[in-house]
This record gives sequence, structure tokens and C-alpha cells, in this order.
Amino acid sequence: MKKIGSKQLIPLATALVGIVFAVIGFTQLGFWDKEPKPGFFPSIIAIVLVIASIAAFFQTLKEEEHPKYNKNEVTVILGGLALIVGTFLVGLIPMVFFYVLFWLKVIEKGTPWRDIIIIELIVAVIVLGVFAGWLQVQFPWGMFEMIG
Amino acid sequence: MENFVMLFQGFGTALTPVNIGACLLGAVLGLVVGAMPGIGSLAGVALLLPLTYKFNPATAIIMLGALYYSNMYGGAFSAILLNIPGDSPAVVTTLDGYPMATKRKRPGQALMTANTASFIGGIIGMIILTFMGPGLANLGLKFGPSEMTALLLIAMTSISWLVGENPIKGLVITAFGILLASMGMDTLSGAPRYEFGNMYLLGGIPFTPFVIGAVGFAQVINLINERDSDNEKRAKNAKNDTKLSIRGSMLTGHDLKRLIPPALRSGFLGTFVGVLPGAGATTGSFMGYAIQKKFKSEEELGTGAIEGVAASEAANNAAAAGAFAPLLALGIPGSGTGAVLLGGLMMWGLSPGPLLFENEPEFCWGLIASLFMANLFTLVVAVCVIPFLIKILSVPVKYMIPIITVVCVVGAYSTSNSMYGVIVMFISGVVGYLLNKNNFPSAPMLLSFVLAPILEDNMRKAFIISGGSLGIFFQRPITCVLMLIFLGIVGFSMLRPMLMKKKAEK
Amino acid sequence: MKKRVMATLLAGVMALSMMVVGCGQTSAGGPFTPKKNINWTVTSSAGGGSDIFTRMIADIMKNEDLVNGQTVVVTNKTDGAGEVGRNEVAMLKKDADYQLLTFNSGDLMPMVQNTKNRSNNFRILAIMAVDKQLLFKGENTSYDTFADVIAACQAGTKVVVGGSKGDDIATYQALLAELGISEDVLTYITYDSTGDAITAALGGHVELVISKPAAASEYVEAGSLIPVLALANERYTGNLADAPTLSEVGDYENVEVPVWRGVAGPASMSDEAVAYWSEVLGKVAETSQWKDEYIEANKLIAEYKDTAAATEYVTQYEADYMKANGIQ
Repeated sequence: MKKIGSKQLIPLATALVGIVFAVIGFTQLGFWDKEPKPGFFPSIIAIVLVIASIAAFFQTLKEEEHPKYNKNEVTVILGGLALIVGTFLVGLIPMVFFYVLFWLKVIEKGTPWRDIIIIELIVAVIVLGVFAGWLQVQFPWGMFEMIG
Repeated sequence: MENFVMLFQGFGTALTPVNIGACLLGAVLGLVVGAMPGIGSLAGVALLLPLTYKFNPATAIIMLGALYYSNMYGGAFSAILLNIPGDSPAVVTTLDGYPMATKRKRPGQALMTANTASFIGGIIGMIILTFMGPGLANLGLKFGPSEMTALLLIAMTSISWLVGENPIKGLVITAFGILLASMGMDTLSGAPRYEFGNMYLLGGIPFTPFVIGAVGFAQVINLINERDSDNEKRAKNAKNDTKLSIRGSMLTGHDLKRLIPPALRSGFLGTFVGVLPGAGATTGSFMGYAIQKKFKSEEELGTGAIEGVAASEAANNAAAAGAFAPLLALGIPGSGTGAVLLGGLMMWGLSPGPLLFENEPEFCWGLIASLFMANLFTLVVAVCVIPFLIKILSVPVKYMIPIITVVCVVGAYSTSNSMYGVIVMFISGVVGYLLNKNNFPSAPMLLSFVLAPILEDNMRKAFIISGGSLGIFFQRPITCVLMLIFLGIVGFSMLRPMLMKKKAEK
Repeated sequence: MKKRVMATLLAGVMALSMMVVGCGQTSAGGPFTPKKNINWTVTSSAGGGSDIFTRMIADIMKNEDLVNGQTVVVTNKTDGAGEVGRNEVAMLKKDADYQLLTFNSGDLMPMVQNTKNRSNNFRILAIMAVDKQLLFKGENTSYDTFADVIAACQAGTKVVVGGSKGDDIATYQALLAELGISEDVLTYITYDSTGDAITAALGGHVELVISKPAAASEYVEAGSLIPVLALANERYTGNLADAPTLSEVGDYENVEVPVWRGVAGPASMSDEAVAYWSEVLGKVAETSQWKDEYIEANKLIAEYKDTAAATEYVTQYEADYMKANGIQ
């Protein structure tokens, strides 16, 4: 018996999605009443998804190689997550600059300050200059809003 | 010939110093807006519209037209250099553009290919617009729900050409993309579906953050693996620095030979798709790319082939030009951006509609002439900035990771001014990453996400009109022909394995 | 050199943003005057009808110096088909006096239908304009007048009507109820926008289309759309004058479901602020810029209602709508 890895979990997950969509589609949304109802198209696709997922599941069981996950990749994901969580705490704009600083100083140890400042400036031009300034996107400024 | 004369008069209107300045400014702004993920041409045009109220209508529309137009160029820049599509039509450009810039180490040529193909596609679109605009717009009107259903069924079969070596996994991902797209508000009944009691999901999954995540952020996660081999790469880049100049970015004669046929095909196809109601540049570029799968490419599509970049870029620029046909001839906006331009026309006291060509010929032909101008100007501007842009690739990977992450977050935020977009971006990024890791192709998911809602909508409208009868798909001439083509494609692809087997047995 | 340019740019941007963010405290007691930026939420995307409406008012407020020299910051919040933005405004407690929301009949209908949010979760500040609709036919339709359509429907022939979401559906339903025809015979197809519905009518894919006068006017001029029924209590003027009202067509009551555009604020907005905004919006409605560039350009009916009248009107409208659709 082979170990079940992420390769098998993906089709299992999509099959589950398919079942949920099909059940809701058939029972709540209506399938056909003189003409197709909201549930018609998604329900059919959901059933296709379930069948294809089951086929894919058995197919992946036969495959030998397993994907290799790298610790660094998880770091990037966690970094992104931290950036989002931090945004809710201190606002998007301050968090973006802090994230870049943290990433370069702590995760990528030993980045020279000169480079960090240049990168922060590039980020400032893109975020503040283009998005916030010119395109007038209303970002959460967090603590900067308090100043003044 | 009359149109030709009118066009020349149009150039007379367009070629004043003020208008040329407006056109150049629009082109530069459009490149920047296009290259920024999250801000598409819609937001770009909408945000600049108020600035143009003070201009006279011709100057204003020339600037906005140039901006709209150069967006299509700009979107390709970030797609090729960062693997983040700057706007949705550039999604397909990432498939070959990014590998061409990185794996094949031809970033300059990739950008040149994109620009040249955009130019060719745009010119084809504009020539068709000049000579057949009103006629084409009327042909577009003939495409009702049943015709669109049949056409989209054909388009959907093209997904199967994108799935690669594993059709079952491709089918899983295609269906998954369709279900994701079905969440939110059901337009026809006005009722929510698959929103799971969540207020945010009432509006469904927004496409732009979804793409920024599934393509861009997923890419950043993978990028970190290149960090360790980075020093080597840097040294190599320093040595090859000549490559990163304008001369090193030039296309060879052989490149051009590969570029032109797909660009021409996509140019015609894209123009046609652009004219259709509710289709647009994104659909155009997907279809252009899918068609290219059916033709011979020197390198396999998806591995950095010039043909792939050319096919998608030519198609989306042509579609952008094609969309002006119904806009000018009938006052029908083919896209959200078109609707904003239309709003602008009304602000300037023009009345868009079937009489615009008759009442305001100077304005209409000035606009068309300015599109030619914008296309040329944007090409020149784009070619000039290429040598600077490709320097981005010599920035160490470890510095690129935080910068791109920030751009993804900020871009996703900008699409709806809320963190919801950012969260969608992040989740699709992680999902996209897991899919890539496990050899599930993500391109079919994006394609089905775009096409399936248009298909469902038209199919249901067709059934409402026919009262639930299938007859509507075979009684109308255009529909019937398209349906037969669709059935032919399906039948052929099912029969082919059997025929092959028989041949092999013999 | 490059660095210095960037630094200057950054400093400039920072300074600018500080200025935009501005400074000020909330006032207490006495008549309200804004002392800092005003946030205005629009729950549909930039460039659409609601967006133009909002930015026009914001522009007039600035030009006529109606808001004490403060800046009005318009933000498009389109999440959850607009419900998220509406909910946020309804719930807002902090700086509630500085938050406005564009609130139209087309926003109210899906909100009431799909969420628990109701108009009494807002302070309705004003109604700025009202619009009504007409029924048009494409030039190649086989029916001559609307009486022919009714006759065909009564004989069981299917006739398809196209239109946009929200307002148009409500009007269609009111029409069905008045005519006593089943929706299987006079069938409705919902399009994403009025423009799409008109496109379908021009292509002959739907027989009739519901539209406001402004969107259809040019097509009427060109002869590709022909008005067949005024969905109003009186006939329209100008090139739409040929269309009879329903009571002229036969033994029916007129059908009129007004489409209104209004402005709302959070429930916790102070009474002083409500009075202030109601008055400022009234001043906006008096300006010639509003009358010429908005009302006239969009062929709307100028109908300013202050907060008291607007609240009563919207509450009644909501009650009627809920009753018609069986919502508790």
C-alpha cells in the first residue's frame, strides 16, 4: 500500500467540491423547469468533476514520483500570510514597508542597508507614487492616518 | 475608397501638435497602467476620464484611445518579465513569454515579439475597422444567444488543446475552474448561488486577484528555489550584458519568420472576437493561443515559443481594435472599458449611437486615425524602454521576491479597494502552487473561468427564447453551421484515437 | 542622481499624502460643518451610472465650495455585488458624520432580496433624481403596436422582453401583474446592462426591450428602436411622444415604477450631520451644473427630496417591493 500524498489529496479535494456543488445545485438551485435553472450548468459540471477526480485519483496512485516540497517555499507562503495579517493590525501601507525590511534583514540575512533602502524606495515609487498617488487607490494607511 | 479618403481627413484632424502630445501621453500612461497588475484598462480609463473633461472631445478621446490601446502592450511587460499578467488579456502571454525570457534567456526578444505582434494584430484590426467597421458591427448583432453558445462551445473545445499530456487532470482542472466561476450572483435569475452564506461571495470570485494569485504569487513561491543558484546566474548575466541592450534584443530574420504567420492569424481572429457582444480581448487572446496549438510551432507551445507569444499578443490587440467597431458604428460598448469611453462621449456632448458616423464624421475618423497613431507611437515608446526593462531580470532573485509579493498584494487590493481581493489572491496563489507541484496545469482553469460564464449565460438565454427546445441550436443558419463545426471537432477528436489504433494494427 | 530623484519624489508623495489625509477632530454639539475629508462609497464600479452620479455631485460640492473646503474621496467598493460596501456603511460607527453612500432603487432591490440589510439601517439623506422607463421594439419586430403584443400573448404566442437587472425587472413584473399575462408567454431575459439588452433588440434576438429614455434616445433618432409603451403615468415628450401609456392601450391602469437615485449615510450619523448633508445636497440640486450636465444630459426628472421626504419615500418603496416579492 502506497502512502497517500498531496498528489492524491488534490483529486480527493476536487471530488469533494464537486459533490458539494452537485448536491446544492440539484436540491436548492433548481435544475430544469421548462428551461435550465441556475443549478443546471454547475450541477452537470460538478458531476463531470467528480468522475474526472475519481479517475485522476486512481491515475495518480500509479505514478511513481512524488512532489518535493521545499522549506523555503513555505517561508514565502508564511511571509505572504504575515503580510496580510499584519495589514489588519497596522494598515496596508506601513505593513508593506515593514514586510520588505523584515524579509531582507531577517529572512535573507545580511542584505546591505544600501540595497534595502533602494528596494524600499522602489516599492515606495510603485505603491505610493503610482497606485496611491496617481491612480488614487484608497489604501488603509493604518498608523499614518493618525499622524497630524 | 470613400472610407480611405475619410481616414486621410481623419489624419488631418488627429495630426495636430496638441493631439500628438495627448496621444504620446496616453501611450506612456497606458504602458504604466497596463504593466501594473490589478489596474486594468477599465480603471485606467475611468480614472483619467475626469482629467480630460477640459480638453476638446477629439483630443480627449485620442488620449483615452491611446491609453486603452497601449494598455495591451503594457500588460505583456509584466507578464513576460515577472510572470504576473498586468491585465487579464495578458494571462496567456505568460504561458510562453515568461519561459522565453527566463529559460530561453531571450527577454529582449520576448518583449520585441510581444510588441511586434501587438503592432501587427492592432494594424490588422484597424484596417478591418476602417473598411468594414459598420458592416462588421452589423454582423456582430446577428450573434444572439444561440450563436454565441455554439461559438463558445467551439472555444471550450480549445481548452483540450491546452491541457498537455494528461487529459484527465486537465478535465479536473477545467471543471474546477467552471465551478469557481459559477459562484456569486446568477445574472439571469438575480439570485445568489454557491455563496455559502458569505456576503463577499455574493459577488463571486473576482477574476483579477484570482489570476494575480494563481499565476503571479504561485510563481513567487517557486522562484525562491532559484535563489541559491542565483550568484551563478548573476555572473552569467553580467557577462551577457550585451544581450540586455537594444541590439541584443533585436529579433533575427528567422524569429520574424516564426512570428508573422501566427500574428496574422490571430489578428484576423482577434478582430472578429472583439466585435462580438460580450467577448473581448481576454477571450480573444485565449482563442488566438488555442488556435496556434493547431498549427506548427518550431518549439512546443508553453516552453517559450515565439509563436505562442505572438499568437496571444496579436489577438488581444486586434480584439481591442475590433471592439471599436460596435462602439462607433452602433454605440454598443463591447467591454467595460468601452462603456466608460461611451460615458465620456456623452459627457463631451456627443451622442454615441447609430448616427455618430453620420453626425460627427470628423470625430469618428479622427479617432480611428488616432488609433493608428497610438499603435505606432506605443510601439516606438515600448521599443525604447525595452533595454531598461530587461535589466529587471538581472536584479537578484532574493530581492525580487519581496518586491513581487508587495506588487501582488497592492495590485489585488486595488481591484476592489478591499482586503478581500488580497485574500483571494493569496489563496489562489497557494492553490496554484499546489497544482503546479502536482503536475496539474493551471492554464485550463483560467480559460474555463473566463469562458464558462459567458457560455452558460448565452445557453440559458437561448433556452428561454426557445421555451426549452433544443431546436434553436439547429434552425438558425449561423448557429447551425457553428454547431456542426463543434460536433465535427468533438466527433473527430473522439474518432481519431480509434483510427490511429486501426492504423497501428495494420 | 537617480536616487536623489526618487527620494525627492518619495518626499513629495509622502507630503502630499499627509495633506490628503489631513488633520482635524470630530466636533460635538452645534450645527455640523465638516472639518476633514469626507468618504463617499459607491457600490458599483468606476465609470458606471452610479459612479458618474457620485463624482458629479462631489465635483459640484468642490466647485461651489459647499463642504467647507474639504475633499470628498470617492471609493468604489464592489465586493459581494456591492453588499459588502453597503453593509460597511450601515454599520459604521467611527466618523459616521463623514461617510456618504450612493443609494439607488437598483441597490435597494438586490439588498433586500439577498441580505438582511434594510433601508432603516441607513439615514436616507436625499433623493436627487428620478427616472422612468419605456418599452421599445426593434425595427424588424413583427408586432406593430403594444396592443398587438397583448393580443399575441393572449393567443399564447411567446414574446420575449429584454432588459437590465433590478429596476427593469421590477417594472416588468408590475406590467405582467397589470396585464394578467403569464411570464411563460411574455418572457423576460435579464441582461447585464441596458446596453446589452438594446444590442439584443437591435439584432432581433428579443422582441421588446425595457430602457430608460437616455439609453435608447439615439436609437430612436436613428429609427432602429421604436417606442411602443410609456411605462409612466403620462406620455413622454420629444421623439418619445408617440408611445402611449398603458391606460391608452386598453382597459388597464398605468404602470409606473420610478427609478430613483439617492444618497444615504450610516445609521449612527448624528442628526446635525443628517440635516447638514440634506441641505448641501439640496444646494447641489439647485446648481446649473447639476441641471445642465447631469439631469439634462441624462434626460432625468429633477426631483430633490430632503431627508424627511426621502426617508418616507424610500421606506414606502421598500415596503411595496417586499410585499410584491413576498419578502418578510
